[in-house]
Amino acid sequence: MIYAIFMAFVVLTLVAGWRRHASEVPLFILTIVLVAAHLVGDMTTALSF
Amino acid sequence: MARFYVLAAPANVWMLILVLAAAFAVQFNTGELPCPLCVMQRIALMMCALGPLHILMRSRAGSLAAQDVAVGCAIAIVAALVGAAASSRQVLLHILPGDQGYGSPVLGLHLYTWSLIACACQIAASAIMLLGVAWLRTERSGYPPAVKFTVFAFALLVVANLLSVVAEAGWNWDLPADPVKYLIFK
Repeated sequence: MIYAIFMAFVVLTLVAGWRRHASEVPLFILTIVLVAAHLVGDMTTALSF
Repeated sequence: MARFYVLAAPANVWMLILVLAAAFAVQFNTGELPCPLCVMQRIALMMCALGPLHILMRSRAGSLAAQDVAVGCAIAIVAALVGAAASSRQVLLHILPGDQGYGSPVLGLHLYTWSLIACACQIAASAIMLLGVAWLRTERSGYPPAVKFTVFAFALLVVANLLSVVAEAGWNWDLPADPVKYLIFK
């Protein structure tokens, strides 16, 4: 579900860009920070085999 | 110079749409579901496309400023760096001799290796587009071709991926590390 939320944020950013809304870049920054934080969380989790 | 961006931005978006559609096609053709890192790479590539889409959507008014190009390229570069980090992580996970890698190779390389190449190419393309700003003054760019169609195609691809990942994860917060079936149909 977390990945669906990230993709929903991508759609929201696209809609903001289409409407030339001021929230486009802040939305992008929020999304990239969330995605990067999730990735760092994945990278710092011990591997299991 | 503005005309260069009006042609380069949609070409960039369509290249990314092609890469994402190819990954989607492999998913359905081979029946191999994307792992969490694969989905992260797809999200990063979608976010890369938001950069040239920003340039494209700003040029709808018929003119383009250096600020629009700079913001668009910055969006693409930052997203490509995150995508490169995710794909490098997956390449390193499967780098040991004897490891068969995750999923089937396409043209000899696994999808995460192609993703790393795509992110590197995106960074290079955005850097070249940024260099062009040196010659860009706020000028008439002309109406870019097929903006609505490009934006609609991209939105459709993102929504299709969203539905696919919901079907894959079911009502779970995260995806299993090695997904084998769509959990929503369980």
